[in-house]
Amino acid sequence: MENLNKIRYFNIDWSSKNDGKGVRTVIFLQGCNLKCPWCHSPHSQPYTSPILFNKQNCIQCKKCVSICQQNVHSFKSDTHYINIDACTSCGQCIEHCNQSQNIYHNSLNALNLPTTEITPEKLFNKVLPQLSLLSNAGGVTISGGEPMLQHKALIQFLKLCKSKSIPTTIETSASVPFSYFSDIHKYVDDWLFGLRPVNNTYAKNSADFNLVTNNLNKLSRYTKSITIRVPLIKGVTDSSEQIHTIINIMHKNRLTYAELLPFNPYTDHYYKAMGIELSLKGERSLSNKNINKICNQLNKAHIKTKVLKI
Amino acid sequence: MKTNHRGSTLRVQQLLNIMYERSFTDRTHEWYEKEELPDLGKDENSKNRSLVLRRSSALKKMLEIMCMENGPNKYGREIKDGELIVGNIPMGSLGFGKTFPNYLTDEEKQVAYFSSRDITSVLGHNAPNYSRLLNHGLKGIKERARKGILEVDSLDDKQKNNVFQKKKKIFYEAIIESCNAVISYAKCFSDILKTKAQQKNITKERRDELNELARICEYVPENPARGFHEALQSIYFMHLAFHASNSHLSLGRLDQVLEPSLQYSLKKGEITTERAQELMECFFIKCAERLTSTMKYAVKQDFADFATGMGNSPFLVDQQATINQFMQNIVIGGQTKDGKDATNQTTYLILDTCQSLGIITPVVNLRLHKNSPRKLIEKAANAAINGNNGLPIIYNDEAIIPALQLDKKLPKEETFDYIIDGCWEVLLNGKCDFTYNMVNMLEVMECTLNRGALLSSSNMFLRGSKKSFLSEKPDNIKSYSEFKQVFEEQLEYFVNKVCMQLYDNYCLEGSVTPVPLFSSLLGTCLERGIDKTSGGCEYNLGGVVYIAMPNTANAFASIKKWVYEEKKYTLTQVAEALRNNFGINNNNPDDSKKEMWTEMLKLFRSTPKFGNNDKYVDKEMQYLLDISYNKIQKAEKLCDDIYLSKVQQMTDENEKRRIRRLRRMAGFQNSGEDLNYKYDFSISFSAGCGTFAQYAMFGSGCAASADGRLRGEPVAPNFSPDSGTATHGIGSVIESMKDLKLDKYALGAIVDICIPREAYSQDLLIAAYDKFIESNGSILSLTIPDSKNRVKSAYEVCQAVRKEEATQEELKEFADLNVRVGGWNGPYITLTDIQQVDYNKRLGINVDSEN
Repeated sequence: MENLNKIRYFNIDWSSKNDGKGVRTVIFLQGCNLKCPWCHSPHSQPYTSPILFNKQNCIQCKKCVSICQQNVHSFKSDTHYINIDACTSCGQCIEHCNQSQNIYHNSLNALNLPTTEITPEKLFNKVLPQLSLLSNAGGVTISGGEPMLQHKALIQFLKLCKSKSIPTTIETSASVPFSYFSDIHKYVDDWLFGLRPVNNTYAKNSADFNLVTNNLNKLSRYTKSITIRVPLIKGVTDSSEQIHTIINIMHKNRLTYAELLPFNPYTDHYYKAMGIELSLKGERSLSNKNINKICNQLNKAHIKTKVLKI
Repeated sequence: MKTNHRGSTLRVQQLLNIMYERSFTDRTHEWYEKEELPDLGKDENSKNRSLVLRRSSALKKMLEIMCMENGPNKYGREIKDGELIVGNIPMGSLGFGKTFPNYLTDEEKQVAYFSSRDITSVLGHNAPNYSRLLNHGLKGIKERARKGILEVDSLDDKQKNNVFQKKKKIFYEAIIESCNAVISYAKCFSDILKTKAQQKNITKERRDELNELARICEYVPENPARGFHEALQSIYFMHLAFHASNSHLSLGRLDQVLEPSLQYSLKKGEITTERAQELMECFFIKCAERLTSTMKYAVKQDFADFATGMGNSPFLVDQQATINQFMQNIVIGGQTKDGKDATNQTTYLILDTCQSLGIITPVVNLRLHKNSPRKLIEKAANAAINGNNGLPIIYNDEAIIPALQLDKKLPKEETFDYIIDGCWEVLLNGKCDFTYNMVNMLEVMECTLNRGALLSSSNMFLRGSKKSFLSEKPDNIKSYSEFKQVFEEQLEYFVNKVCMQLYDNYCLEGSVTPVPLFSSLLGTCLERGIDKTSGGCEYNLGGVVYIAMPNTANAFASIKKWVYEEKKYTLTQVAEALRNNFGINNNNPDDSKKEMWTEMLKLFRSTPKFGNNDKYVDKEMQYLLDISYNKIQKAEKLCDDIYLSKVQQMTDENEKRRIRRLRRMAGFQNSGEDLNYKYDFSISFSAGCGTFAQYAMFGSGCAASADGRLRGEPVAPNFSPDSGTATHGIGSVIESMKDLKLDKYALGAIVDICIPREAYSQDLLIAAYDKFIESNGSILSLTIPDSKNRVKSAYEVCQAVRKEEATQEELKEFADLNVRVGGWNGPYITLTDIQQVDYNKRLGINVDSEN
């Protein structure tokens, strides 16, 4: 049962320059209602992350096989198979795996369960020393997953941040009821707002564009500190019509700044760790020339742009 | 090379390029080899001369050879195109050692060797009082010395033959000879400059410069300096003379020393602020020219011997890590003697120079306090970002000054005037002598777990090589408080020993390596007529440096949790696991326990680590700092009794006998009588935490430790979180300082933090400095080497060069990549593999592959 008084996150980036103004501490919340095909953290989508397996760190000691009651782990001709569906995230295999004990760097572990559940107060105390450096230099950014799904617990956290004058930012895909925004926006200084009119082929698993647009219309009545974020995925979001749609929406809401996120060609890391396939096939990165073209199109419409580094 | 754009003018850029180009070549021929230097010990006449006069003659010979026409190498008289500061410091560094004319007879050498001393031995590092030089010139120093000689000469015969008076006269004679040697060197350069100015193929502008330089070198350091250019050249000549003669001295508070000259020149319209910066840049480059950027020719230039170095030899430093450690520190900012902010125009000038050049030496150290100007802090952050050299290093007056003031032997106004020397050691400005000694806390821990012996897996020494006394069996240490008790007993042994060694060594030093020239610019030596190595200074600091505090605090946390709280292991089991390196690469055929050890390692590594603002372990750190400080207090009292009591004045016969007995046991003053200094002599012990550049070396001799460190792995650099274990942002590292009461640690406790280039901003740095001051931190280095990717590429090229799969030429691409090496900042490409890997860990390289 969902604990509305706790926040679930799967990662903290203590110092990032890519997620809002200045240097940010970014908290990535667990759980997403979308399954965007270009998503680079598929493990963030479920309510709690499934067990992640980094093959290169496994020494095939097979302790996990004997310890797991659900028979999640099995070996066939030296290949370690994991039946994620049967996994109850009990953590027994990790506790007994000598290759999974690096508490500092999860990526060095063979097995790992990245989701942490924590009260807003505890989370705040954990990040406060770092945030105290960022009140002028940047602030905190809540990303995900879809952070708005945890808006109730998140408000508690953001209130604490504001009590210490720490700038706050939420990055959202906004494919959620507007009621989720109605209380929280008072505690958010800046929004990183995903806007992606995807073509029909990919629309099914992506955001409900009408809902997102409506939410943006409503949110922009409260605040203009909204940065529009557009992923640049070849054949999915890059047509001039799609850019044109974005321009219209931004004009309508008198928003003037957009960040463009080039496709990350190294996304398959977590897919592999989850044992699933990346559904996007083929070359999905845009050439610099095409990225510039999109920038020009936006700039001509008086929208400032910044292309983020991968 | 990526360094091309640095320097504020074309002239400076060219000088920088020459420096970097040369740093990649074989510089062996730039050294003055032993056989090229005279041997004063072989000289029949020398034998009967006093040692201090032989020392000053050796300095004279050295300087003569350095500017001799057709001398051993052509670099001695070199004046590079565009140079505005002249003279050439001979090759040499902490790691390489130095060469200097021998002045000991064969017989003396053999005896000096017995106490691991030689002419190259240095005891303390230090900094001279350069204001005295600028205000009085060497002329003034010589006058004072002459006056001293006259005073002795005017005494009656009986007094004249008093040993103090005899020594005094000789000391003053040595000062005059040394000063003359430096003046002659300067005048020799004046002649070279005049000749150069007559060459036909130079511009009029350069001719004027050369003539002006010739005038300056004719005038200083003999006379008091008037303008800024004279002041810089005067200081450089002295600095050069020190560094040519085994005195690895720092430059002190140059902003305070130079400000009057700068204002004089600006007011007179002699120079512009731009010119002032150009001159300062030329000065910096002259100090940095000994740079070595390649390891290819390093072994050929290893001129160190067993007695090089300080204190209780044999010489043991990580030589590769210190080939570019010249111990040239400049201190800026801070407070005046009456506690006011001391920032001035020269403070900014030096900071701008540091940023503009981006070179690693001289090391610029910035003192901050709660009333430091915002502009200064902003500039410092800017310099840290754009200088790319990890500078300035930040010193917190709010923690350091109160710590110095705890010592009642030191006058309050002098504590406001502190400086830095060596790596980061805090000492009084131009006033005190200094020496230090170190305690490796992991050794203390091994002795606690193994009854005074190291945890070795070999049986040669049965339970292990013996380092201290037989303490309680681990089986019998039933509670955590008992465990702490045993640790404290062991610690007391180590601390008493190093403190007594400091006195012991102190008493030896003057007999082998007197330093008359330096003494003339240090504290009361000139006034008293006593060399600093014989107790000429009014104040003497003795530092006790605790190595591997972070590892030890982490180990305490593991033992507390898993032995005494969870009761999962006995202390004996832990000791056994550590002895056997948790079963990893273990020679012990008994592998039955391997499973337990593997699990233990896992649990130990997952126990909270210092630097993450985790109270569980931070409390252990507080405890360690408290007991370590208290042990020094206790040792100081003991030492005062042994070495300083005035037995002759005592009335209590029992007390007299007690002191005499202790003295004889300490092997000091066999008669048990008082130390025969004319003036009161005492060492003020000050506590510090760090490793300098030697964290790899100190770890290499230690068994595995309960923080999860394996046998031989490096210990944490300085007082920083162990490499790779700080995972909660730099804010949490700084927050961890808050309750540690570091304002008792007068020598300093330095935290080295590295931020990859992709995660910094000026505002972040400013906030970090502010928070560090507020959190009562002691010393902070914040290095932004470059992006993780670039450091990674540099590592890959270095690896390829080590395997001879890439050429030296490919390293040049990374010549500007400067990183923190514990005691100084150095070129990444010259570090050992183990140092580089440790550094990568701090940045999260190779560890955090997902980012």
